[in-house]
Amino acid sequence: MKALLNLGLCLVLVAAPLGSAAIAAPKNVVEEPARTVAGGRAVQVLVAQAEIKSDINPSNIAVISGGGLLGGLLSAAQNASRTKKAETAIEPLRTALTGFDADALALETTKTALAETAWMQPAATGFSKDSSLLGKSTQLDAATAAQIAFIEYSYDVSPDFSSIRVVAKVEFANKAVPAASAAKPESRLSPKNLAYAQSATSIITLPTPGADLDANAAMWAADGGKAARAAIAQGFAEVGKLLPRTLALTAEDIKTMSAKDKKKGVAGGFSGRIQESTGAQTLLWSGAFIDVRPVS
Amino acid sequence: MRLVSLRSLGRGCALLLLAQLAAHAPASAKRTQAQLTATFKDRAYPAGTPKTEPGCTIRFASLVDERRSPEMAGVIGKRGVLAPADSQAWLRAVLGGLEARGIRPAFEAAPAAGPATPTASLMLQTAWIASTVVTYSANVVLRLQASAPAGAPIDRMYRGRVSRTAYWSGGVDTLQSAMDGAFADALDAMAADLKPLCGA
Repeated sequence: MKALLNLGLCLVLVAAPLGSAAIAAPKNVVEEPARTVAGGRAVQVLVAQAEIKSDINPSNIAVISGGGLLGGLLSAAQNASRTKKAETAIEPLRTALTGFDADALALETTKTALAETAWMQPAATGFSKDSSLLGKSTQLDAATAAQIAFIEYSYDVSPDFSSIRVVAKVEFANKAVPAASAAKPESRLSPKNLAYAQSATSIITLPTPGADLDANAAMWAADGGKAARAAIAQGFAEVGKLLPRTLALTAEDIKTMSAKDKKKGVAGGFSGRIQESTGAQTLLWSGAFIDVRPVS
Repeated sequence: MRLVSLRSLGRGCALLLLAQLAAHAPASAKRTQAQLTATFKDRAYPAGTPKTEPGCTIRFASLVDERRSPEMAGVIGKRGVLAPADSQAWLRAVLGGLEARGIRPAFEAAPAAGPATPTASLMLQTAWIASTVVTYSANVVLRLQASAPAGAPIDRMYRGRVSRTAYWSGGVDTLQSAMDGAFADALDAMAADLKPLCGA
């Protein structure tokens, strides 16, 4: 009983919101002067996963119940149960995707995307599965260029398995350690010190999702994972198209896309201001591009 | 009140809190990676479970690590999980778990193991630990090719998975234990397939 009480108290403390005032927002546009870097910019492609990931909708019991011991306990139990269910449901899909090389797709996507951006010609392109803070810091130490553009890809299924999502997170980090934090080389990767941070998301949906995640998992996994393979490839391709657009954005573009004359909408489980909507395809802006379309 | 004293939170909770703080403050994030070792500790079986003596020997002619980035075995939050540097030793340790499942793995050259000994090749395709909200999952994929002088050859993938709730910590021991559990799952199915080769 004491252990349970301790656990609940622990979870409540951990769930308590931390002050965000100390976390400065990184730059989300690459201004003209910052496009060229003295000393060159290398590109590091990161895919910190070995297989397609699952996701869950985090429990909100703790919020509904106003926090507290019981809420914390129930919330943790519900999250664990949802994760277990999702990890079980995803197994047939992972089996069907055996041999599917998403790492190669990530490299190809990067190459295609950067070819569209004249100022973003890398001095060197590397690949790693280590997206940890220390890993990236070590990569900065080893770089011969003055800056690294980390392009980290992730791909997963939505909590209800109705869509497959591909996300590219772009961060520009300088090799030089800020003088104020010379003893902490990882500070190069803190939001306030990043030269740029943005992301692009592609959501590829099942044309007619089933009633639950097991039904949807079966649809993705059928025929050797044919639909899932197509969706992941399509997702990477769409992200590859969004990346040059993202890198080219100016502050004025973002202001225009965020303006109130752009209708708000929800697509693929995400909300944002609708930029394009043609049939089943929707492009949202929610601080970053989110493209939603059915698998083809 | 005694129950809400800081001491009563326990070491695990303190670690979890620190991890949470680190996640919000990258500059102060953990500066160490979690290093897995080239060992294998099988799951604990309930007391009284009869021990299975190895009924036959399978000679593993090759152990191949096919992972693209063999140095990595996961990323949890902002912390990397490093795989054992010696993947051969790691795979041998894992295959040692076959003994408890009735199969004795041999890694020496053919004559010592005997000419009629079934032979196999093992490929490690995946060994990765990922985290979600409050849980982490270890997943492994092994490919086995095996044959005996008589009997149907095997060419199959074996998957293993363990999901754990990370209430108290993501310490190296718990990560290692999760990875071991995933390998144990895969070994269960592998041993069941290998046993018929023994009688061939």
